[in-house]
Amino acid sequence: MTDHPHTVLIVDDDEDIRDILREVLTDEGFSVEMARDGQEGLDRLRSGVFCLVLLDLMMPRKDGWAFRAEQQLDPLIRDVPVVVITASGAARLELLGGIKAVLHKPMSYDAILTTVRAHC
Amino acid sequence: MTALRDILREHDAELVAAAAPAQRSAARALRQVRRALGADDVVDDDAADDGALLSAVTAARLRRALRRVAAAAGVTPTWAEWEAIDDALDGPRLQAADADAADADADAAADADPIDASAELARLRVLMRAVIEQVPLAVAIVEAPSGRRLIANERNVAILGRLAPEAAAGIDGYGVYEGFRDDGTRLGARDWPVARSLISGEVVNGEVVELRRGDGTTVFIRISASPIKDDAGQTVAAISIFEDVTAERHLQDGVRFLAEASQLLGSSLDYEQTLKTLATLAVPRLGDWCAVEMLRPDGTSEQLAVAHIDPTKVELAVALRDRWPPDPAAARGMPHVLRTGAAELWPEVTDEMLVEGASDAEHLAHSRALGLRSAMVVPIVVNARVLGALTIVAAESGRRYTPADLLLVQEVAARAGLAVENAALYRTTQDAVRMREDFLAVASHELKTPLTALHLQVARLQGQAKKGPVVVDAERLERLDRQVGRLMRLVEQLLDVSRLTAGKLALDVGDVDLRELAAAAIGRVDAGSDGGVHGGGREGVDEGTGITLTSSGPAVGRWDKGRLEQVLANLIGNATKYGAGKPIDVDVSGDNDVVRLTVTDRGIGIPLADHERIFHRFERAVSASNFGGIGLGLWIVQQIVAAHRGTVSVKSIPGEGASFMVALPRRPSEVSG
Repeated sequence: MTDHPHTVLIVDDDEDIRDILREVLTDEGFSVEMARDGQEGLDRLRSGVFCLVLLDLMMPRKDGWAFRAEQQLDPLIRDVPVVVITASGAARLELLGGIKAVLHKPMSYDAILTTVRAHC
Repeated sequence: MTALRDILREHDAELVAAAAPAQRSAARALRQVRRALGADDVVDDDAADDGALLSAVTAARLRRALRRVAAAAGVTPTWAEWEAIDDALDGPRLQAADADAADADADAAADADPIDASAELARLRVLMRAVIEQVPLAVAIVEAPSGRRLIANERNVAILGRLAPEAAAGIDGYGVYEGFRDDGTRLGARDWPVARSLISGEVVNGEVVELRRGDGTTVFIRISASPIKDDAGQTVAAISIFEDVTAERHLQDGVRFLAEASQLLGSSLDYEQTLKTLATLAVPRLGDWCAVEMLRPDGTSEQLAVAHIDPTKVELAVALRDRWPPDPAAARGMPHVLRTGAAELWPEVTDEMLVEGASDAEHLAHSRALGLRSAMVVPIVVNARVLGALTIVAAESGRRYTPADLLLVQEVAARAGLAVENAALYRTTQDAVRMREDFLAVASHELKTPLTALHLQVARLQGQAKKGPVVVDAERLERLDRQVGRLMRLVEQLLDVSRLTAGKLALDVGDVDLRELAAAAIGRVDAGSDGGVHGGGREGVDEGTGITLTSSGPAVGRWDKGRLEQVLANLIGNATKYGAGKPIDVDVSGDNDVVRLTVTDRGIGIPLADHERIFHRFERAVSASNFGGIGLGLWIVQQIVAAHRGTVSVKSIPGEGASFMVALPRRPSEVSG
């Protein structure tokens, strides 16, 4: 648990993606927490203070859409900005509500840093 | 009113005298005329009159004398009376022309009148009679102005069905015939062409009328009519000539129907709706009934459409079919056509046929009530494959189908077959396109994830390299290698799909021990390398997965080792992925002919409804978002097993796990099929 104002929550079911994002962001001085699916992501989000959520969409148990739906209903975590990371096209992005940005895989190193810096 | 017959009686002596010198013959002939006109109250000895010989000259003299005395008395003989007179005067002479020759010579010598013209007239009259009877048309001549029938040849009866006595009397009786125009309106008595010729002198050329005959049957007749005028231009009669153009009309209707049907069949890819419309279009052009029966994939058939002008009859037909479904083994009719693909033509539906086709007395009664007369059943065929049958039946119209009708309906059915095939091909193509799109979406998603990780790793290293020496440890290298490995396997799967789809899977066959192969595959999983084809979810869930291998009997066969490694990797990989971390059993057991591989997990299992589907390309029993992988694994397994002439099957209870069984013949090359 951390109250660091520059903590990013990474929600992705793919270990390799989680690891490299953690490394990239830690290198740049951000603090990082990780979750393997939407449910774990919500649990983490509720128990900490985050400047941004990097959210994958296709995940087991609870996917990105379900994560967003539940997040928007919870006033305590509703305002945490969310950037979606997806390998899909524009599939059902409109159902995600007011997300800040979409990063399409494979995104560049700089794109990640620029996006995260804009919010943290 | 003085009638002709009165004049005949009163002026008998004068007429006989005018026929001199053949007065005896003339007297006999006049008696016959009187009798023909119903004027003779004396019953003569028929035998005596039968032999009456009258020369053309004498006959001509008698006609002239008759005309003279009639004119003097103010009487104009009717056409019919002249007919009767001619019959009486010419008949006997025709029967004994030779015997009459001498008499004629004597007449010629004794009389200076231009008798040759009269003889010629009489001959022409005989000729006309012959022509009227022999011409393959119905000819009727009616008298002006009454419209009374004078002459009607035999063909009138053939076409009209009967010569209505009401119509014989005059124009007002013509309405007894039920004639209809193209627009369906009925002809009144004075609308008939011959009536118009009489009344207004109109010349009618080839007007087609639909005639409903007394027995309920329908014919199309083409009528021409014109007035007959005398030298003074006065209409004395009218002639009506008509022919039965039903066959021609049906052909025209058929061609028009074919054109419309072709357009219809080519206009839509919804073939079910199209065939329903086709049935409606066929009625009443081709028949009183039209039904479309289509075969289902399981070999049974269903009635897609049934049409009749009268909706209540359609309901009746549907109800009859529900109650007495057609016997699929029937020796003729629709089921037979569906079985054999051979068209059937029944020019005459006989009562025996109805009896044969009926299930019971009630069924027979209903069948009889439909009044079926003639029928055609043709298969809807594409590439020698029977898709359905088109049935056309004539009932109340009384139409009888000919081989020409059958050809036409076969042509329509062939086009219907193409339409059905087109629609099916279109659906298949659409499905394939959709499936490919799904596949590309999933494949690109799966490819992008390891590609992203790889890309970012390299970018990070590049960034670090700019600042100073980079230390690459074993763990980082292993991670890079793992991502490259994921990409390679995915690309390999995609290539497999393309190879298998193209049917180019060449087996590299050798002696393979499936037990050893299974042990090696399990070893790869246990060693922690990513032996499965699945994508994500490696950590945690897989830990502690114990895979047990059991075996019995021979396990060696002539197979492709590399391909069977793929099968094992897929099945064990799936078991690991969906096995909920519980123990997995792998069993290899063989006998003389077959070796069976069974991979059993105790995981989430597969719903029964999905057991077949999971072997399709790009299919998964669970949604794509829940598990990685591109849904190709089982399809590839099945293709490889099939290439070895083996089988793969699944048993599963949802929530309790799944068991995949592969049966491989030990010597696939000796298995036929």
